[in-house]
Amino acid sequence: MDIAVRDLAKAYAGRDVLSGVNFNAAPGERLLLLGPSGSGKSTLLNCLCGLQRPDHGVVTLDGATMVSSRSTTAADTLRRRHFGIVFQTLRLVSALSLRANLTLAQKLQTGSTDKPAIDRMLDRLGIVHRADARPHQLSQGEAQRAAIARALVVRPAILVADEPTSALDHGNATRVAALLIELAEETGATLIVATHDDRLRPHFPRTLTLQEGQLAV
Amino acid sequence: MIGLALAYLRDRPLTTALNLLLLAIAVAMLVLLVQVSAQASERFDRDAQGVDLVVGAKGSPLQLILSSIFHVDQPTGNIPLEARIALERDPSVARVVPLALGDNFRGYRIVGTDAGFAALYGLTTARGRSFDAPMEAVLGAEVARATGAEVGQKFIGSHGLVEEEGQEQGHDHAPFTTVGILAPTGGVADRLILTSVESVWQVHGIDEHHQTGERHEDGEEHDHHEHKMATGRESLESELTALLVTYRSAAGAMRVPTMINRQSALQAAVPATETARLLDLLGASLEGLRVFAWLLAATGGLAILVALVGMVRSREGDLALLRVMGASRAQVFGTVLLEGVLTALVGTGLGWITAHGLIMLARANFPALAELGLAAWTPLPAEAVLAAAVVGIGALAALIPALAVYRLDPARVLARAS
Repeated sequence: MDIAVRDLAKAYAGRDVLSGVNFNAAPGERLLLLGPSGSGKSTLLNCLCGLQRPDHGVVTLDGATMVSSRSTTAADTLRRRHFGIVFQTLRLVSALSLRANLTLAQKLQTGSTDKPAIDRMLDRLGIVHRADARPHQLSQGEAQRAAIARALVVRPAILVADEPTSALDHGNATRVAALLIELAEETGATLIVATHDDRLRPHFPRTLTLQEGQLAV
Repeated sequence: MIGLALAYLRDRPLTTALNLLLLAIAVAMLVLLVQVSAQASERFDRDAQGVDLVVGAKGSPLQLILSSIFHVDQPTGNIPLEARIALERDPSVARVVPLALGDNFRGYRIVGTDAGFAALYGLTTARGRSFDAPMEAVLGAEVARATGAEVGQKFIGSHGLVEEEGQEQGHDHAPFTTVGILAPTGGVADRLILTSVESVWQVHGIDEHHQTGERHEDGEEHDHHEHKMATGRESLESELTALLVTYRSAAGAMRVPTMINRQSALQAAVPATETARLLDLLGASLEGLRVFAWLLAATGGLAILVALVGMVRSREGDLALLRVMGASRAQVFGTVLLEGVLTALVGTGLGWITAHGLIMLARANFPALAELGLAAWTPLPAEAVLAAAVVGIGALAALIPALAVYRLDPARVLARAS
């Protein structure tokens, strides 16, 4: 899906967090959003996914408004249909097992469940043996892979990841980044990763750098 | 979403168990109160049906009603036979049914009466026939079931109205013959043994000619106990214990009680008045328990509220994630509401089963309750109302945290979490 971000701006308590952000992402593109902490990466991703309404500007998917300063009406539906999101800390629903988390994600986002697809995804990520484990029983690496599995099991058109490697050591961070790219390529999903970790830059053909709420030229 | 709500409930087993316990205790108490008051009231109404007035010896009118209609207390004494004759001659009286009490068979009261008793309660025999000659008896359905007695068998009555430990004073000289077994009625007659008044007199050594007031010439042949009827006092006269009176017209209600109460040895008690008084007495103590039980149910609701508020705080991240995953505000709201409703539903179910189980156990272990006709598994419409109210409390308690979840801003939670 074509993603277009136009003139996006957001301020908190009089301080500009995003200002005049413009960019496009083509279907299947791999995009790295790089910037230090507090540069506005998470706010930009939240606006992109329709979780936050910008003060100004618009985000469109194939020309349809996902979110604008005037409306987030379509955001929930479009997010459910087209997005898979991986967060840094909020990975899984704590009361459910890993498999039940993936089942719930499928049910919520597609309205049906596909058990073989869930097992294939868990197997692909090397955590099928942990399918019945609860989130608190998983290691950091397993939990991050589980979050990726949850986001991808619905076969989203757009995969968004916010600081997916921040809690991981270098080896694991590289493996997770490689995995995200590989899976996005397999499913044909557009991949947008926001991070402060400069080590991921080599894995992405295109990098946008965000500084103090503005994209660096 | 039901699966998720159940998963959250399972995730905090101690809190869930305590909430269920609180609600179950409250519901059990409320169901017990509903059952006891409804069944007592229904039993009183059914057994007193058709009886406008009870005439007996002076004493407590409530005791007279309890002993003569519900057969659960000692009679107030005996009354002369002439009282019956006088009432039968009264034009405003349609029916007078005599009662002669004094003995029991294995704890079931032997009631000396006439065919009017069967007419009054609409009794029919399931097997055999009605009593006719002296020392013939008809057993109530419950008596026959409990004692295993059959038509044609003989039995010996014992002194007193209740079976006593090691009771030996049986009327060996005057055995009864079972000639019939009554069809079950669900009323007091199920637990009675009916025979003629003459049979009771005969058992107690009073021949029929005593009905006219003659003394028995060979009275010394009988032991003293043989002359005791309901009161236990010696009596060689043909006496009755009570009379069940049905008026022919409303005029009877104005005149007959006054006429009876004017006589020094007699009293007239109106079943409707006395049962109302009894239900008032019962009602006052039940009301206190009812208030306590509702307070307990409200506490259960508060416990659900506290548990869910705590859950929402500690699971804010989960709930935000659900929204990110595509759950609508209504779905997340519904999940929290469902937790409260499910807790209340299960608590109500457990309470209901506990209450009816307790009635069943009480019936099995306390024969007096079985005698009172307390049924274990007869749901009442009031219980459905009660269950709805308790589930409503659960839903109401869940509403506040559910509304907080409805207003949850996932972006704010995500910002805090990262």
